[in-house]
Amino acid sequence: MIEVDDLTKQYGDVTAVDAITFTVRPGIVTGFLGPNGAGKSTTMRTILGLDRPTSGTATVNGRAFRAAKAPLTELGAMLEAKAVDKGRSARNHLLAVGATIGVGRRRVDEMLDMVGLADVATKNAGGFSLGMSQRLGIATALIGNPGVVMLDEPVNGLDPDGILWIRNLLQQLAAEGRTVFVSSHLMSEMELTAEHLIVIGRGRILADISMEGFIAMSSQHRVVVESPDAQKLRDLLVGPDVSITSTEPSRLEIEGITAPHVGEVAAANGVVLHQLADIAPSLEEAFMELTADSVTFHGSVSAQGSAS
Amino acid sequence: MTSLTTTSPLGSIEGRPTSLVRVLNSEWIKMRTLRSTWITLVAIVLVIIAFGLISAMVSSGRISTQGGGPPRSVGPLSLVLAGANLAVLIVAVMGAIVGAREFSTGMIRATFSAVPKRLPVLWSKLIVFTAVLLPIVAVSVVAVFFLGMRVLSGAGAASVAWSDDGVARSVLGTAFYIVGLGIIGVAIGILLRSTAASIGVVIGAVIFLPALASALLPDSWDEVLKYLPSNSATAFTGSSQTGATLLTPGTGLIVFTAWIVLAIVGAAVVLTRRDA
Ligand SMILES: Nc1ncnc2c1ncn2[C@@H]1O[C@H](COP(=O)(O)OP(=O)(O)O)[C@@H](O)[C@H]1O
Ligand SMILES: [Mg+2]
Repeated sequence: MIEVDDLTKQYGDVTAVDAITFTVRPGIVTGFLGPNGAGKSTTMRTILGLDRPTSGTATVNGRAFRAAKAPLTELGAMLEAKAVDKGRSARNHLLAVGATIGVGRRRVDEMLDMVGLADVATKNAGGFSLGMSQRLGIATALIGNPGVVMLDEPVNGLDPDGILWIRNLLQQLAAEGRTVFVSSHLMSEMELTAEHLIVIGRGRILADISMEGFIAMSSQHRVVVESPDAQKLRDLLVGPDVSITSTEPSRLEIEGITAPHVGEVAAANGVVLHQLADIAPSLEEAFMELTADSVTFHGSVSAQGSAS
Repeated sequence: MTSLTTTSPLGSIEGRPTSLVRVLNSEWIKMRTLRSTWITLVAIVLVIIAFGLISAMVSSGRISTQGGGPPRSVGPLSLVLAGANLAVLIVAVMGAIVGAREFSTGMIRATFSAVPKRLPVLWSKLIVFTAVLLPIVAVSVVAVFFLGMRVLSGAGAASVAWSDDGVARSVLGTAFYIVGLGIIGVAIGILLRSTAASIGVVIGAVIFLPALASALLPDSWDEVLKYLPSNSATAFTGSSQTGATLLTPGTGLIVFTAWIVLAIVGAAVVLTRRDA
């Protein structure tokens, strides 16, 4: 269990994390989702005690991580995969880390096997690709058989096989009752892995919701209608809970009414329809919308209005 | 739940509590698994012994040079410890790298994730560094003393004996100075977190600046300068001439040790406070 309470972290004038509160529960994969610069890594560093909070607290299993008796057995974390000594082999890196909880060669080789690095165990970590470094980072995080697993953007640099592997691994660890907390800036990754979502933008929590809840929330459909009589239809549909926008004279985008309802109103009033479509945004779009106000720099991604 | 019947991908090990001994072991593994450690250690031994022997041979005429030997004012002890003065630089640089390396690579985050209390990491780095270097440097310095003196006396040149007044103190003091500066290097590396910057500071500010200051500043400054790390050490190594008035050997030892303690305390305070 990870508990973050009213946590704020400032770097000089920059408020990286702004009074956030959330709990990461055991037994499920919790996704920590937010655009780049949202404050995910900062939050994780603070949980690990690497960064000191400006105010507020972060605890692991009910106490500050600093107080852990055998830290690696409580919380295993990977922040930056490339942050290892380039002059040391993968095996020696793990031996050094494992020594702090008294585990040795046998455990190290077990972990190298599990992450698929057994063949390059004696190679210097400096020569590893990002994907291999990512695997070494995961082995480092899991060497202590920890009850809480926290990974910062673990999918970066992995090939499709690797992505599938880590997704299954995380779900298995959660199914064993561990607390699994994984960050990403891509909804598409979380969609398939996480059961619960904590969405962060500009250092603030924007949503703390089950994946199901997020899907339900984001599946608020828009109805797109094309009709030569669009103006008349608009007048018929308009109401307090309905919002209608129109980009072309013959086209309406309606929120707040279902497509069948629009069709019935049109039929009852003799309005000809050329098109009637229900559009559910993808989770990615829902996520972008949620964080839109919190993204400092917008890319030039145009909305794709494809009805499928 | 299936978790009771299937085996976890993480196996079933149970780690044991993290203690100073375990962190020491971790730091020892880190030190011995870097090739550069061994290269540096060999270089230190070679420099101390080879340079001492060469200068003894040159001065006693076993090796002839065009310009003749060094000036007569250099005593036999300084001659055979000639390599030690060079080894000081190597050990100080090694210390700075030991202190700063993990910060430059980012490895420190993995280290502090395993040992979030942090201070055991500092103690362990210092203990491992000292435990490796002190015996190696001490043995090299003592060895070059006896070998060098044999060269000198064999050639009929002036030599001193281990039992002569202040000789053992100078020889062992030299080993202490070399390793002590290395420890200060480790502390500076941890304070500055950059290998390049800490090498610059430890060599420039700790070793060369005092010598330069002694040479350039008026004599009235000597009262202050003799308390600087390298000058306070010269009081008990007695192997190099800086022209500064020196402390007594005993006071020099205390002052130099105080510098080491100060550096360690500074590193400890910064290490526990600063974000990693
Ligand atoms: N060490 C630091 N010093 C100064 N600013 C920082 C530091 N770390 C992060 N920041 C800033 O804090 C904000 C959040 O960064 P970060 O936690 O890395 O976000 P994320 O991991 O979600 O991409 C960014 O604006 C970033 O520039
Ligand atoms: Mg990040």
